[in-house]
Amino acid sequence: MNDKRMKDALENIARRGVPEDVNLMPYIAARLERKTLMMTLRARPILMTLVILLALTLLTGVAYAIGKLTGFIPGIGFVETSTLRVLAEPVAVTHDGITVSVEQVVADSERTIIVYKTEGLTVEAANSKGEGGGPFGSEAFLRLPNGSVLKEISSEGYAGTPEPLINQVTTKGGWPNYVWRLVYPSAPLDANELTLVIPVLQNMPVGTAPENWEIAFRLKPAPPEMTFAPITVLPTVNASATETGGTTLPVLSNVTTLHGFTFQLDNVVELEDGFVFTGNLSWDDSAFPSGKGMVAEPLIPILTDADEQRIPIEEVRLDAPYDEFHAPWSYRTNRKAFSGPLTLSVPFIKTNIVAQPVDFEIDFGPNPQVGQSAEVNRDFMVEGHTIRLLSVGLIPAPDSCQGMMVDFKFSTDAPNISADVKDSVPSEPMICSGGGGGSGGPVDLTVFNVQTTYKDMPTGVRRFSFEFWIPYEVSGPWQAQWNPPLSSEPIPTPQAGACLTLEKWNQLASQDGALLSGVDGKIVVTINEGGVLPAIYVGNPNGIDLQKIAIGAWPSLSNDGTQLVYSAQDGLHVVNLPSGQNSVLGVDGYRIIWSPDDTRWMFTNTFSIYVVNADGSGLQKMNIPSGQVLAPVGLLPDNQTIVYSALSGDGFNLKTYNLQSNETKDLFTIHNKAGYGAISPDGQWIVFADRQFGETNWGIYISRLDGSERKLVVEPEVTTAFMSVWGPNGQWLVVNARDANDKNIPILVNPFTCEMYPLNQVDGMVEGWSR
Amino acid sequence: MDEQQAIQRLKQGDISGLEFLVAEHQVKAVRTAYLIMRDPALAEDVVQDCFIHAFHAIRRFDSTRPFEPWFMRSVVNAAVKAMQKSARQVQVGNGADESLFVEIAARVESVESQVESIEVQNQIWEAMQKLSPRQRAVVVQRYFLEMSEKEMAEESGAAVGTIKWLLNAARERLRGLLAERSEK
Repeated sequence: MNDKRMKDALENIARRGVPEDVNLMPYIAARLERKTLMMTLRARPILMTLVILLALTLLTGVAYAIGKLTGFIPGIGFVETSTLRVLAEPVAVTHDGITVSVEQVVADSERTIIVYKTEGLTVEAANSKGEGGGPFGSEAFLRLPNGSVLKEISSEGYAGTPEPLINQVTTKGGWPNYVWRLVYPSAPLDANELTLVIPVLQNMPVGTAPENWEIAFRLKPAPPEMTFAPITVLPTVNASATETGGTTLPVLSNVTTLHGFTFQLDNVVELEDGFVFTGNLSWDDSAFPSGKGMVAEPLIPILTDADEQRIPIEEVRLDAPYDEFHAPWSYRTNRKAFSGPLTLSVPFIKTNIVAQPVDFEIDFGPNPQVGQSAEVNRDFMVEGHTIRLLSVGLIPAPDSCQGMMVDFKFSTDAPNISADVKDSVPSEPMICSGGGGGSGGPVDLTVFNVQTTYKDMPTGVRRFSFEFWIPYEVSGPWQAQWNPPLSSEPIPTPQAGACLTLEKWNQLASQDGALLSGVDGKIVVTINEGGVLPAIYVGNPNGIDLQKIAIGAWPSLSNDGTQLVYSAQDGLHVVNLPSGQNSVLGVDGYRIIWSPDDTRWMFTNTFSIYVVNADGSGLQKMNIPSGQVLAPVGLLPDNQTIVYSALSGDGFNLKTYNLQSNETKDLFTIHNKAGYGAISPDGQWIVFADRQFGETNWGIYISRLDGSERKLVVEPEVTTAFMSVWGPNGQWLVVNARDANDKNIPILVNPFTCEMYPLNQVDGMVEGWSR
Repeated sequence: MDEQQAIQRLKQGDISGLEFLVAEHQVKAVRTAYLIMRDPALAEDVVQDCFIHAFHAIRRFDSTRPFEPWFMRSVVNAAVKAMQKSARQVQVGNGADESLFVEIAARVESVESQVESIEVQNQIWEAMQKLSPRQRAVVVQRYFLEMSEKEMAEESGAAVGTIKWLLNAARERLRGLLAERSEK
């Protein structure tokens, strides 16, 4: 048989069946967009997206399975030791007093990971174009000996892990110097002379530091004596009991199968400061009532000890891939002393059922026009839900596309139901020259639209097939257990619970506020009235008789309640409340704080802190090593010691500065978006927002000025603004909490007794409280 | 942008890389799937799936290798799997069905112009309907995708001998039918 002739025959057959102008991209793009169903965890910078693919296996002959990877390097992750290459020797390059050095390289058959650091970058240079004066940094790439380049797989600081597993590499001098981890595809086995190319260093605006760095380095095979973090590979043990000497003993199980889903703990890696747990969730289509479905959100397991105390864990991305029925997961602890056994529990799994397609016919008539629509109001029963097709309309294509769309609008009896629609007669879809525009998220989660696109207007009777995706939560729990080795470290005592828990918040938010007697003074409140800046109101804490003072932000009341300073579009203003006189100072700034004796106040312009007399005269810049992002936090009762925060790599460092002696002293580090806190009137306590290991959001804490006696006041599950306000007697805090509709509801909290009262009458954010 | 660049972009999650690959390979991919599945709409669905899977699996792809063979293998597998699951699965071809295909296919060589004959193409197409999805896949891989027997064996997990047998049978049959036709 002549192969070419056979090929030609098949070519002709195929050409007759499939025209040249196939255009799949719009459908693919739409499906990729729709398939990103995972909810974004608030305040978590790194997320995992579970995307369930419809049908495929065996794309390559090489499965990226953790079981194949036999080594674990802290800060790097699992590696394949048989093909492992490492940096032959550290390499550093220096230009104009700035040094970039490649400290660590690990290359196996899957990835090439590079860790480099900088020294010599200065704050002045990094800030020389003002706050926000970017662009900053650039993508770095890896050049191979043949001249081709590899581009980063991810450019996050510690790509693949939300935080470094171990800070093995450190840098001197603090910000803007940094340590950076880059992940590239695997470098060919015969490519051992590589060059890291960094056009612009991170943290540095273009033009403020030497650019176009090229650091050549060499790889060598990993030495035989190279050590890896111990990995415990767990044999699969289903929950069962064994009998020993007539006594039945429970055997720890590391796998649970329930409702068609199997949750398994596969490995435990021991680090210096914690454990990494890795495992898998697997299932098949029989797990879904319709016979087809997908896991919609990532697992959020809970780790508890033998006393059922919850142990904080954080997700660790180890670049293990997903496939159609299989999702790897990995989490770590930040300590190793536990009361075992430990139990990982998954209380529920959120999925989407893909229902059997439902057919529907529409007669478009002989000459339909864009803009036409028709009410349908036809109900479909789908997996126990009523889904109503409200209307069908012919709508124009987006600007970048040629063609039109048939839009189907549905209402449902449950939120977050969605659908895919297909015309039984294949037609050319609309042609788009650019990316299709995404539609905005629906306000009403029980109403959704879905479209099918056409290059040419459909006419006559058309039969459509709707495939509905129904949210379906599968209840567990799935559990896996493991016995940690004994540790010489003491097991920490559990932290006391917060005053304001989510449960308590839900109760308070619906209560009427009844103010205590003895709670008086004046509060300053900002209320969003639709303008660029909010409106500033002052009045009693009951919130009933608030009086509007001005339009502006960052309002700060003097302690005696007679003066108000705020920031407006023309700069800082000082208002004498009894007389109403409003003076413009002609300087700009924010985060305004009065001294305890009301003789002066201070503010920041981001890189410097200024002190000024009460009436706005005598502006003085504080002699603090500047150039970093700075924010004042408060003045101590001596009226001379300023507490302020300064940006650092890990968050904000709290410090004190004495106005007379110019002495600076370190306090502790907090982790919130802007380093704001507030000092109690007696100067003994500070309230601040901080994020602890294992939490996705910040909680509100108080502590002594040195960070000791830390106490959680509001747990992270409650949505709050990061600024809280002390009352004038130092016994009350006002915490600005937010409900599900993002409405602000201030809560009065005594952080020492946990008495709490909602200030429901205050329709805004409380930003100060004076006598 | 060239294919190497498109792949690198795709490895970073940049969908413009996927757009390039789709534009370059979609026609051949859909035609490959069509020859196995015989339904152009289903073929398009399967190829969409394959591109979506490639989007997510691209990080495992060795970008020093050409993309097309890697991708087409996935298309063939997916098409076969889809057909095996569908209600339109053809009964596994028995010897007679297979030989019928081989007879028809053999006629391709008799006269060069016959390759272009719509009639012959129809007969080949009809014959292919009678093969199982896996058998059609083998034919498509060998003649349409021009894979070597070794590549086909590796891909299907079958012994090379099995692949050789299937193709040799086709060739033997072809030589016999050609001789018979010539006498007529």
